[in-house]
Amino acid sequence: MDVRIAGAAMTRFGKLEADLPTLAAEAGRGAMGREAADLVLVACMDPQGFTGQGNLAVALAERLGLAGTPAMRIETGPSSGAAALHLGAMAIGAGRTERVLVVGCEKMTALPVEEATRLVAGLTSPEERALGLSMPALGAMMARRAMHDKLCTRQDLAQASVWAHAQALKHERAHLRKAVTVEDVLASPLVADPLRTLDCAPMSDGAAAVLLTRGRGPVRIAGLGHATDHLALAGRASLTGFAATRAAGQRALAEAGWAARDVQYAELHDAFSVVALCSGQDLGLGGPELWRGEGVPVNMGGGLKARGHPVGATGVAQAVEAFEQLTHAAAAREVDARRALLHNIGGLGNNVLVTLLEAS
Amino acid sequence: MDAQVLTWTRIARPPAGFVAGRVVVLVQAGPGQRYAAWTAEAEPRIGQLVRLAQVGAGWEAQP
Repeated sequence: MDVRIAGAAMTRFGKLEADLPTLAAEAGRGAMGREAADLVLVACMDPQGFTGQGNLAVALAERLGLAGTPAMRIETGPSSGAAALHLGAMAIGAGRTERVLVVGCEKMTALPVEEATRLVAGLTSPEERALGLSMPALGAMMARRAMHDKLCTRQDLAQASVWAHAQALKHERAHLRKAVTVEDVLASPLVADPLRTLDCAPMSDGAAAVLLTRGRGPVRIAGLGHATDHLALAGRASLTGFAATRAAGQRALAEAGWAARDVQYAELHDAFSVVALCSGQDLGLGGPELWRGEGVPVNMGGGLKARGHPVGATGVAQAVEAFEQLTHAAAAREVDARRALLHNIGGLGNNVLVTLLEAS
Repeated sequence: MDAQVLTWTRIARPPAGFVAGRVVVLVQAGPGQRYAAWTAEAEPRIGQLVRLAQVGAGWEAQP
């Protein structure tokens, strides 16, 4: 399979006025340039719940001037973006199509926070949801256990957010462009003990897109890995890591013929500070030191925490960031890398996709 | 097997429809028996396990 990324674009992330199809079309046009697509895959977790817009794939294709082109929406929770990217690569690899436009998008800020939290909590198991456990509350239970087991300190968790905010200052399209300190994180309002507001990625609006092609483009997809796990946290083998991340990472590395040490840059799914730390360890990249700038460079665009987290867009935004890194278009954020790993989580670690990219 | 509280949280910002301040624990009640439970509404057996585990494991005080 020689599937490449030929173009990439993203809108600004944040609280935006534009409606969802408009945001998605802006990113899609940017990624396509003067090319066309013969398949449109749009990743979006809950367009109808957040905005009332159903049938999003057709709404987007029409905005792009692609009415008549096959189009469909892909949903695996917050890993929808990577799922669409993987399916697009598989469609090309299977010889079914030549050019796939993958657009990830979400518009989350039109609803009150409590209502948006309720929609996102729909990703959890019915039994845990019935207790009032939200996504950050489940993350908080992981954090409590990780600190109890001395895998990290409260300061280590806060440092992951400090790192993300520092990187987002260099990214003009990021949602939260404001430096924070460990003290700021520890003093921010409590969400679910011990996680505080600044431990958690924001709810954002935004869209990102990549154009996949057969054999044309500066960035090659080197490996894909995907795994799932039990829906409920109570069903997991570990409370301080994600088996699905480990399995997806191993599958992607095996397909590419890489070892973890071959990864030169990584985009990790840091929806909560504890998930940032666990993910680096699950993928064999490193522990808390990653978030102090030591070892493999991570989340140079601010990650979910500070670039923003319009959930359906996130997996594609990671690909856009890596595309810019690998093509020397990341300006002040750029690191010296030819091989990148993207890690996108759906639910609380139970639908995980890992994508490996290489400059071609 | 002794009952254990594996972890817990106090939810300060809950989803719509829930009251802030609820404490939820994850309990290992026996081999292959894990439950998430709200301490104030847990069934009697789980509630007892939670109290025993709090004493035994030294977790921070629950309401």
